Amino acid sequence: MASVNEDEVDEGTGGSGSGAAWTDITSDCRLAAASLDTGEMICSPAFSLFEAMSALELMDPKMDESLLEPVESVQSRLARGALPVQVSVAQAARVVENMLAFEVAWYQGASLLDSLFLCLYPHGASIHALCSLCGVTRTSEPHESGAEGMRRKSGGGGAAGPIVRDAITSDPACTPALTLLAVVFGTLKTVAGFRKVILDADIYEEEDAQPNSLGLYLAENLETDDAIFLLKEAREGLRLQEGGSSQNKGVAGHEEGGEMEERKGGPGEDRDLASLVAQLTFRIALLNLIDVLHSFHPSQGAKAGHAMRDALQEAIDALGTIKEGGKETVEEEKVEASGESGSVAFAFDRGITRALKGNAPRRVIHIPSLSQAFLVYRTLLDDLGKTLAAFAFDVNFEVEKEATGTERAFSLQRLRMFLDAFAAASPGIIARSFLHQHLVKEDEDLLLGRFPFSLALAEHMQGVGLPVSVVCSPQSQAFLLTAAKTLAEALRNLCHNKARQRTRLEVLFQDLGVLEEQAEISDADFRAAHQLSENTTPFLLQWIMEEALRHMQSYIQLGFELDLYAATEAEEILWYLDCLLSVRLQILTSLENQRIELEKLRRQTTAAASSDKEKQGKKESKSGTGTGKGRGGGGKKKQKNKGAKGTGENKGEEVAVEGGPTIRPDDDALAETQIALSIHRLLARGGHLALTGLGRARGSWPIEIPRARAAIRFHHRFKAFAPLRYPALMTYDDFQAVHDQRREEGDEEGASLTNAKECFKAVKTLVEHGVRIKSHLQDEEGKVNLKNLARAAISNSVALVQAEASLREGGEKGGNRIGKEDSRNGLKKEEIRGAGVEGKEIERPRKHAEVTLSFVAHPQVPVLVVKVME
Amino acid sequence: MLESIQHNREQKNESSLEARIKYVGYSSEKQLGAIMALVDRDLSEPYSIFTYRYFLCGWPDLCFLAYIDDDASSKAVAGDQYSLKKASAESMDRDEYNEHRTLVGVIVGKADNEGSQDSKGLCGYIAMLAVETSYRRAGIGRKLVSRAVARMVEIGCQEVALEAEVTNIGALHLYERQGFAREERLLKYYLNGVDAFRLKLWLKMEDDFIMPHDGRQSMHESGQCCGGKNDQHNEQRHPHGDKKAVLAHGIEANDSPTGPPNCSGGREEDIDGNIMVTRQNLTSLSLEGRHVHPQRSDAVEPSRWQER
Repeated sequence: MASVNEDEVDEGTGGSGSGAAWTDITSDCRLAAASLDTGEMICSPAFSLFEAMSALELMDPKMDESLLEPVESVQSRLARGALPVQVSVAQAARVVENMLAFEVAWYQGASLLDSLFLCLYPHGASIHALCSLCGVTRTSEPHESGAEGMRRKSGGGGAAGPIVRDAITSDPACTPALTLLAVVFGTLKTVAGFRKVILDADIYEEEDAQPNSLGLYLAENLETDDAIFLLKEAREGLRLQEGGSSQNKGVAGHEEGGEMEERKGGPGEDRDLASLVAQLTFRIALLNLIDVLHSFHPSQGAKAGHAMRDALQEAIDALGTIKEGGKETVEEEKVEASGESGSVAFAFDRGITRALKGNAPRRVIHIPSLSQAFLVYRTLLDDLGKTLAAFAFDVNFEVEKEATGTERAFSLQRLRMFLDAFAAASPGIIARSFLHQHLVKEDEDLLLGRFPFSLALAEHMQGVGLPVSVVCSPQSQAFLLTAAKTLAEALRNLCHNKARQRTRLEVLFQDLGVLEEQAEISDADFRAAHQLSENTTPFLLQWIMEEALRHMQSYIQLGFELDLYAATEAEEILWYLDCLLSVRLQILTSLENQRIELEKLRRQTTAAASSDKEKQGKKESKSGTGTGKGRGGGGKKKQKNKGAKGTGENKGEEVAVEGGPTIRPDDDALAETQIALSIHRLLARGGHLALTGLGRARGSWPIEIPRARAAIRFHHRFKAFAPLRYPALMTYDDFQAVHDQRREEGDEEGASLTNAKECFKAVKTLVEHGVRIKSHLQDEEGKVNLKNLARAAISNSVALVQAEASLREGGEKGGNRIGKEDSRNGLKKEEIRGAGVEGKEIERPRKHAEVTLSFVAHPQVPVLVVKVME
Repeated sequence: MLESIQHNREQKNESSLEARIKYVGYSSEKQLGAIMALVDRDLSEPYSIFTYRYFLCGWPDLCFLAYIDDDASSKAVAGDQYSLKKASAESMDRDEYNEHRTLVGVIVGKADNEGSQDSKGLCGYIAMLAVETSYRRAGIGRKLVSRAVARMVEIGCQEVALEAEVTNIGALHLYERQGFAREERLLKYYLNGVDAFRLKLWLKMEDDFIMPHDGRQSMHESGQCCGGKNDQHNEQRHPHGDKKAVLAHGIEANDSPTGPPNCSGGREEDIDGNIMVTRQNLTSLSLEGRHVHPQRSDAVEPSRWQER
């Protein structure tokens, strides 16, 4: 051991090479070590948990790479022929199929080192060898082998011109190798393409994806056209062999260097050839799709939507073909990453990237089976397809505008409904990233690349019932700008995974709190400017409160979806949700009533105006001075612009009517929202009433939570809402007060359970109504969602009836002990009537109900699973 | 009837087992080997010795061990020298009778303000909990958690946090029976790809959030919005929790006690005593965001973590 003399260094005499003297400090260290007791440590205060967990322990095989058996490099394997370049059709087919499974592991969240690059062919040395064999001369992939070879050269790897197409070999013996090379390039380009989508959107989290390329070569210097050309060349070669194979079945095939297996014709080879052709076709389709994704711009309207739809369909069709082609062999021939089994084990090695991983945490990697891999790929494409619905607003806009002359297609309300449904389906990170990228252009204030957000917001506010004079008043403009930013963030939030969505909502509540404050000020300014009384409805505040309630509802419902609430607290959570939904419905109804009133006024004014015009027209026609202009000139666009700009001349609601017609973009969307809210409210109310009833019936919870503890838990559960001014945060005392009130009102008679059942019953009627609307809109997913809500209600009703029957049975058996002291828990038994059973007296502690929550019917609506216990 | 007999027999076995289990605080690095062996056997996550030392040297008072005295009962009954040894166990070198006992459970924790959202107070953290498979269902995990939590309350923690695999139903039940609630779901948190729940035992309300009813009315009071002020708008919370520590809890299913569901005993009443963290005791307990053990040097220079 040695150290540099600090004085010398301080004096600027240089580093180790100039004046620094090396001193042996071994004896000092031994002396210091001798003064320490067993286990005594020397450590720095900066030695944090992070350092502790990142520290390496030498000689521990879990951490010390040197204790592990060294892994043979790709180059060495190639040199000794253990990794063949000249492969058979069967081998190529197996490798390509399995490489797809390893690629899919990356889409499922593994790093590239733990997924695609566990296959040896995408490594630099293999690519180089394949290129040499196939005469692919232009590519500038790295030529080194091993760890360094896998790293991309600085500056993109040298020459990046197009490949020399004429130089590619036409030797049929090389077709499988060319296929392998084309698929390797195609796969690398696919991964790079999706990676770009993920990175551009930048919403991924560690659990979503690991897009870090870690310096690995992802064919960046190869043009997509060239990659597609190689894929097509290989496909042509295979097709030729397909034809030849069918003519020469049973004839021994080609052999080279003693390394290659004898290729035999027959059904097996036909299947492999077909499988490879399908794989190549799929890869071509994928590269086309990625090209479309990268060049996609929603402002291109119908053209962009159609191009993406076609590319997606092509990829989906091609994927379907592979599945059919490889169906028989896929499950049998799946190669584990251990490389111990299967005929292409030589192509995969879990240890190959060990050196590059260093001391990174060793994650358990699940490589999907081929059938699972196809499913994942299909889901990925379907998820991307779902995003089209957002851009279809654009497409429909064009079509509908031509057909009907209206702009009904797009509204913020409808976009939100789409986003809610999109998020509910938990799409993968690629689709979420793609949508996020085009949803709101912050710098351009554009929604979906073409709708000005502020305008859409203003329209939406008018659509839900705010007078145009308020929305367009100068006092509201600052508020609108801030609100647009917050709401854009809220929309984008729906593109995150659900756990993150919930966490991010906590931040959103702070912004909404600020907006509420701003809304109050704007409302006050508006009242002052128009000399309105203090009792005038605070329109902006009312609207922003409804927005806040929407997100509060999401926050709680996501809690259910993420399984965060225990059955013991479900009663208070559902009670809170019920309160939120009630207020939200109240506000929506109030806004709706305002809208109706305004609409009436507008019609009256319009009728009066047209009557005047008619009179005027008659006069003019009599005098022969008519202008000849038709009715309704100007169209909606004109009206919208007028509304959006706002003149600020409005004086109260009456003036608002003169500002233009109330924009009513989507009646169905609002009706749907109200129905959905009512259903959720009934379910929440039924849920907490049922839990109240069951709690009373059984006397006590199986786990006693002291009141102080319950109050603290309640407080922390909802403290995220604290930044909001409206609705004010409720406390455990509020919850208890409602309970006490119910008791006073005679809930002892089992009214809670009866009311709960009524709530669940009422859900059915509302669902039927909602399904009718969904059918009208041809919204199949919406129908399924509503039916799931109905299932939850029915399941809860059944659970309650069964629980009541069991509890009643217990009460009948122990009925003669009513009023006596219970020897087990010292509780004085109370005499109550059985829940929902008139006239029958039961004794509660005899049996009790244990409740757990299940989400079999709907991910956000708990179904009560009641177990009656002795 | 048969069931009842069997149940009674099980209860008897449990109570006799319970009598043989001794709970002690961490006292020596000599216990580290056994702790590591037990935790390594039990938990899915691999930890280096540095991780163990980080906790054990920094917060030795938040580590508790459960030993079973293999022949304790016989020797105690005979009134031999062992009883005396046991009586003075606290002051003795425990290794003298290490050979007579086996480590069957351990809990390792810490308390600092690292995990606290507002960095205003101490936050307890349970890093590891492991119980030997053959000694589960005897309430060992529950008692270890109770002891650790009680100590955390004593030193003024506002909350106690931990992570557990979503699939580890036994551990989740155990913690939930102790009053922990699932605060957050951490997707693919563990190296094996399994999600985790971040569980929290909230011990007090945050002062900032204690509702003063400062002119605001709750929805259920008013049914609509009304006046009032709230000054919480500027409070910042980071939405993304970093996965700094990936720690697991190795209580397999059914480690929870089989006894009556109310697991509190007297201890929970203590926990509910709303112990407030004052500025004074915070200062005495923390230095640069770390809990400082009384016997540890506060020097900024690399310091020795003395063995107790």
